Amino acid sequence: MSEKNWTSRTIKISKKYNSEERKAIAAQIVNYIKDRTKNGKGKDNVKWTPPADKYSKEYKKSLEFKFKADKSKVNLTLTGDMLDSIKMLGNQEGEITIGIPKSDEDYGKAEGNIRGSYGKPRGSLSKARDFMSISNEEKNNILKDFPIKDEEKRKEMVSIYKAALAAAKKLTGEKRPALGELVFERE
Amino acid sequence: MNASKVFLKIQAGIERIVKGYSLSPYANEIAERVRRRTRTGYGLDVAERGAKKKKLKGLTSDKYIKYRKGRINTSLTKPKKSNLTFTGQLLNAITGKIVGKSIVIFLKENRNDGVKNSDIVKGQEDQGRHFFELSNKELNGLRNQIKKDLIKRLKRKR
Repeated sequence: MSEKNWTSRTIKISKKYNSEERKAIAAQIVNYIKDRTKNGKGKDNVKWTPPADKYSKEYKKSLEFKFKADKSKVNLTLTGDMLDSIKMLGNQEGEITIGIPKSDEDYGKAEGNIRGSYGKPRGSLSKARDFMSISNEEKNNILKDFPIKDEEKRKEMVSIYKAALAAAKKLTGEKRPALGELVFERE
Repeated sequence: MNASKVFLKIQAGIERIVKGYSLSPYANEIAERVRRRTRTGYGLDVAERGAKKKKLKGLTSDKYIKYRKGRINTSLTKPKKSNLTFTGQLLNAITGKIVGKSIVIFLKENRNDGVKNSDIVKGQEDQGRHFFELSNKELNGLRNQIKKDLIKRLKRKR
């Protein structure tokens, strides 16, 4: 693997957004990329171009391929761990950076897809699946929820994001008798 | 409306949604995710929710590997593969059910060889093969899905 983080993408946004707004925007972008990829699509919500639109014969014969839930789509999803590794890596005035940290155990898989290398030393552009990039149009669609000219709406979105995050943690964490809980029963 | 009023309004909205919130849509998905992860040969570092994923301890006994050759009757494993699969019954038994507002992930006791799945899990855990819980990424993935759903519902209420 090279020094460069091949999964990292810095997205330029207005300098008028504050840090909390940038975090909420980053979360929305990450979710968008995950959903788009799970649908078998890349940048601009378009299917992969051949030959990247098909899994290799070698991979299709592998034991791992048998476990894929949806074999019909090239959706870069086996266990879901690679896509669940995408996070905000940087938060600065005028830009946010998303990607998978190089230290993450799923980084290698992501780099392999983005470069078209799949474990080999050299990448092949024709086989590459750059699932991390988004177009300006995609970015602007997401930013519609955070209009620069409407401070109140932006504050509301940040509140929604924070409240939803806290509630999701409660629902999946410690026991809360009034709420749903998740239990692994061994006997 | 000032910032604190906005936040209080959102908080009240989310408390209303969460009171009636059901995790049931996620029950099968959680069971399937644990099953799939284990089949790829991975368990957890320790037997705790949110632990790091770790490759399952390999099959160290040559005698056992030889035993597996010719006896495996599923395409979901290979003789040397350590993925808690021999007949496929253990992992196929992982099931999600709804009890009230909760999800319970449990093992159906439906083996055809007289052995209990819960005993097999205990035996594997005693050998350091922890798999029956959510890893850190699985937990974050589930939280993220719930968060996405809550955001969608809160946006609709605006």
